[in-house]
Amino acid sequence: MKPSYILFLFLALFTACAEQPVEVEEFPVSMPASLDPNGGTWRTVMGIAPADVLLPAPDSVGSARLNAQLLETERMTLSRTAAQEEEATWWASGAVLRWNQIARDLVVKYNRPLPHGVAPNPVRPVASPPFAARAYAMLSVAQYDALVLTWHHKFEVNRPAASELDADIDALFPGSGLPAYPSEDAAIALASLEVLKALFPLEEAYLQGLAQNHQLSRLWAGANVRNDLEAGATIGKAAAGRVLARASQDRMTIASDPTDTWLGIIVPYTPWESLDAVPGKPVLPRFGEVKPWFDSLETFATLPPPPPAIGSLAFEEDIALVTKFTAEGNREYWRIADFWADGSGTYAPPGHWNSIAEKYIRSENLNELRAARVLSLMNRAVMDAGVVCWYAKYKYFLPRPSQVDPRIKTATGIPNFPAYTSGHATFSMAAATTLAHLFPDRRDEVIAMAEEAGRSRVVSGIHYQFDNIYGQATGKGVADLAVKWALTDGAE
Amino acid sequence: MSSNFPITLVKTSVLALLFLLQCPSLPAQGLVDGFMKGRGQTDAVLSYSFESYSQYYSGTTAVENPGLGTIRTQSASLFVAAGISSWLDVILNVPQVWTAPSQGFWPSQSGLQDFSGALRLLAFERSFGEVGLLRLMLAGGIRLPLTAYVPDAPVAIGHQSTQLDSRAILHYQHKSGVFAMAQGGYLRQGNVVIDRGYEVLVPDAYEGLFRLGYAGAKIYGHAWLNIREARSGTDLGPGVPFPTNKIDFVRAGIDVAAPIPGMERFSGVVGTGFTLQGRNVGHATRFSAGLIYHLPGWKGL
Repeated sequence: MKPSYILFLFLALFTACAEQPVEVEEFPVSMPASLDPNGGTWRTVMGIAPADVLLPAPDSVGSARLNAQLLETERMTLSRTAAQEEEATWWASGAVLRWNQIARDLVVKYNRPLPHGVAPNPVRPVASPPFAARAYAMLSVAQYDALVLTWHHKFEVNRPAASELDADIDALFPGSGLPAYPSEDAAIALASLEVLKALFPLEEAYLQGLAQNHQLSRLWAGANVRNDLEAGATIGKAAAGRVLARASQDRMTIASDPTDTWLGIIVPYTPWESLDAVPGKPVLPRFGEVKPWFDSLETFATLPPPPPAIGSLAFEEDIALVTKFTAEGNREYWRIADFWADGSGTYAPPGHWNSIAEKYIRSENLNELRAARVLSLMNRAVMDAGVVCWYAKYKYFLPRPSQVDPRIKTATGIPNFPAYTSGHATFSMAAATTLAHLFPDRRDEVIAMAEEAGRSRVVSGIHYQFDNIYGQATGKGVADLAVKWALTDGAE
Repeated sequence: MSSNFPITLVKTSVLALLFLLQCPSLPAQGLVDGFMKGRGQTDAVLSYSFESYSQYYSGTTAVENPGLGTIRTQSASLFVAAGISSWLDVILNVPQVWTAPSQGFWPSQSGLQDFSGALRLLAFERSFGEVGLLRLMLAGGIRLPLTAYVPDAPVAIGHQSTQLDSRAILHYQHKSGVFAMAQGGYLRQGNVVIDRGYEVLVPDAYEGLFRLGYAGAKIYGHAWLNIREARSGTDLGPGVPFPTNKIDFVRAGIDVAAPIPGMERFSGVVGTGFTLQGRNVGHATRFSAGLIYHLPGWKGL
């Protein structure tokens, strides 16, 4: 009745216990569906042109200089370690997307509100949703402009990949068929490094390490020679320089409202008040004055009309709806509220849309240039829509439903800024409308997602339905500018 | 049977108390005690508990959150323990939990929480005559979320993790009724898919439970010390508990049980528990009361 195998079984149970790790999704080496040989003619965002960047000359095939570099690559492939193979494969799954993920991870790390009263620290930014929207846009634009120039030189010089010039090079994976000079990886690495280290100064050493390994990974893989990397890096750095010069003058420095002008906002109803446990200054009160990527007049044509005044019939009807939703305690409402919340400690709503765009880019095997174009169009639309949304928030300064009626309990945290219009609805419809144009087969799916994102803020009790509706309208209106751009940038 | 009836009752109460003492937002602790049920003996326990805290440990720092105020949690549990044979017991528990903050805008949460089931095996028993009795038991349990309650909110009733629990229990009982028990266990916690749409790791944990008490014919009482340490995990973000949190604590308390005069087959049990140290848990105080019903004996399996 006390068989010893029971004891044995239990001992086995105790000792065999190892935590079950969460699986990390792995991506294969990207094989682009098309190469876009005319990509070098596409319109750049910052207007940068090939003639603006002086490159190290391409070493010609058969030259002593190139042969020496081919030998270097060959040696590196022959002494390649397993870790280097892993590194090379990791980057080769899509470098634009890898750097986009790195940016999202940094937003996760820095998306922590400061306690009220603590002065902002420029080297340790708070990656709030507007900050994140701008960061993603800057990164994507630098990547895209760098790749347009890279493509121009690639098809002009038309030098094959290292492994095609030297049969002794042990290529880690088959080439994409893309000319190798300048290296698109080096261009992406430097464009991304320069932008991200400017946004997150404390991460410079970490980012330098990534950029270094990213470039070296192309030698370990046998795909490039030093000359490819140097030319790509020069382009990446120049493209980022343009973006950073613009960013130094886009008025982001006043977005946090250092002189507290928000205290003087006057509206014809009870103004917004902080519902934080310890009330305090709202998020980036003057982000609405930051310079948009698209034409300012056209962008601000999407500014919503004033909200229904508190106490008006339209307002009462709307807040009654919010009360009804929150009183239901519906689990599905809670699920979508949580799914789209993307609050502090996450990559923020704009990051969520970058992760959605990543899936689409991967599913269609877009080349690096086209991937960067998608992200550059979407992230510019998302940021500009966010600018208009923030402008509306502080122009209309409308209280959250729970301020008007404290009995309204919410399924997600109440953001510390005014309600009208909904940032989630705005960001999401801007992203979805852009993606719907770029991935027409996904139109219904992506618009439905944006509608759910907007609705999630109403059913969770932190927004009125009119916040959602007018937020979506701004998002769509700004995305239409991105679509107009897409139709004329030479890629379609 | 009638002569040891009260003893049986108080034995069961110990099991019940272990459930009463658990924080409802945490996986079951102390699923089993050191008293075997005995073949054909079954007890059902209906219990109520009230727990509250106004401070919680963010990491290891005790903080207050005016956005939550005091979190008050009530639970009602149905617990059954049955002796299948002289060496095998089965133990089941189902709680309904209600929890609410006193301030702020987070809604209250309630629902059927997690089913717990365990088997306890007598692995070794030796009587030392006048000196007493030494017993080694092994127990294996499972804990399964019964409803789709919210797993990651500042106010929540649980973590939605499916848990496997294996433990060894050493129990020494002196003829006078004084006893001491020590148990060590490993809690294997399944990963959770949160509403945000991805899977997160819930760290496994080690647990120790120690008890010193007296089990007499008319009264039962013990003092307990419960130590939990997660193997890994994150600290609380800005006020947001998460299934990945590293949850550690040291808790202690006292429980007393006695037969209810004039009510054959019924006993009453009361208890209290305190949090002495913690990491990512509430600095909670708990009071509980329960009614034990000893079912008529059956022949077992």
